[in-house]
Amino acid sequence: MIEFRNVVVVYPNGFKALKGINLHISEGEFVAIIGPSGAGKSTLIRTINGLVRITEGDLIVEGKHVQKLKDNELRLLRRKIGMIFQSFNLVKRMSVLRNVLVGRLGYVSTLKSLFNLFPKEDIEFALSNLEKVGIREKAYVRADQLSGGQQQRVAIARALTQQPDIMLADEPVASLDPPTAKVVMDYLKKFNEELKITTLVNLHDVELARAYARRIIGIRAGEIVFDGKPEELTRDVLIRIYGKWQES
Amino acid sequence: MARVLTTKTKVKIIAISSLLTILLIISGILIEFNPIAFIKGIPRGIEFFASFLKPDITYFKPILTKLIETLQIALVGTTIAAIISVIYSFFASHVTAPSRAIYFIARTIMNVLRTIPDIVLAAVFVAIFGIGALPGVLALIFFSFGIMTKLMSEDIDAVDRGPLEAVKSVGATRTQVIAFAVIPQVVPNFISYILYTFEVNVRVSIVLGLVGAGGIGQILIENIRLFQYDKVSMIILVTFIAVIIIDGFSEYIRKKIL
Repeated sequence: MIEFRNVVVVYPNGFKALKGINLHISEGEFVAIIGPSGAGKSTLIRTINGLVRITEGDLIVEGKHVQKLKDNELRLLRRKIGMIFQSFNLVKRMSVLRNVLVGRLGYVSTLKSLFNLFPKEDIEFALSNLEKVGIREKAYVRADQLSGGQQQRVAIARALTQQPDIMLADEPVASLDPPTAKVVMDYLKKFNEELKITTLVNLHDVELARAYARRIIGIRAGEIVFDGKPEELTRDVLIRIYGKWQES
Repeated sequence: MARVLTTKTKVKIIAISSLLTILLIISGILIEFNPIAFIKGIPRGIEFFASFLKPDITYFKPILTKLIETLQIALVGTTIAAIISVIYSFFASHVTAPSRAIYFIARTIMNVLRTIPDIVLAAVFVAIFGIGALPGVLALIFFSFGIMTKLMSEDIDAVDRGPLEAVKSVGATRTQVIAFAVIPQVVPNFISYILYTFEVNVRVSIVLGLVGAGGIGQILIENIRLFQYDKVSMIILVTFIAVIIIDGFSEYIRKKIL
């Protein structure tokens, strides 16, 4: 369902972020991507929803060649791909509910959304997703009143409201303390299993990757240097990913 | 002890400061700035100010009519300019402009308009439309468009890009991204800029009256020309109080919003 064929990404400043990635991810997988900062983890997952356009190669997501999609087609693809971020990226001055309703923007007409005319089912669906992440009572609170962990749960609810087939998470727990991080990771795992959402998570914490993923991909300097099960992730492999100074 | 400045820096400082001093002296001579003339003028100045000490209170009513006209000019000018500027600023920000070409054109127009002084705008519109409130309103629209688009477009440039990326990632259209991720971030500042511009416009519209663009400035210049300083002082007094009240009020609202 996600297929990278010799994907290369070169940024306008000449930096080669991905150097020929070949990767196949099947439906329902839970994949952790690990690697040192600057290795291309963020770039890799951003190519999947076209936030970063690939320079060379072929990238197929849900049967579509992402690099060939026009703006309109790309939007249709994006609404089936949820994404959460390290800094949560909620609109701080808006209510939690309105933030979650952002997940419906791909489905309602621009004009209606401008006047906040979301269908009743959409609002109920948004509330039910807040319920799923355990913060329905915060629906009418301004987003910036919530703690970091709660904000990330709102972000997950926003993604769920898209009814996604794929969930991309870019360092989702890097700015959270360990217990809160666990809560967030547990939700991602839960929705992966219950709702069959294919999930790709960038993590810099190897132990967290081991604990949650059934498949781990290690990248270094824009290349995949490891792709296997958590138990195959030996010390030697970690040295290959992170270089010899990284102890884990 | 370590030397704080190198010899080279010292020479530079001396060279630059002597150059500036010479420029200052030459400029003074060229514009015939004469300290003696200034001192000689002091008694006449005292006389002038003395006549200000007895403002003509009976003149209050005509002043009030003209003051209201000034406020109306400022209000209409600011409102129209605000509507245009809010929309325009999205084209003049690199975050929201539909294309680089449009961004470049929008910024060029904005920067050219900003170079024209308000009083020149007023004089030109008075020449075209004749004396009255209309040229005043037009001049204010152009003038405040320059201020507001500059402030607003730079505010849009500085929005947090995270929420933009998030809203884009759900498959939102460009308009939806602006409505859901950009506008909520800039609204408080936009309101503040509009109120600030209104404050400035009240003062500017007084000055614009001097070249015939309606309002209290018009009767101010008429009375100065007729040497009716008691009336002039009453005008200044009333204006002074009005400006203080408006600034205070606007400040109060701005604080409430932010």
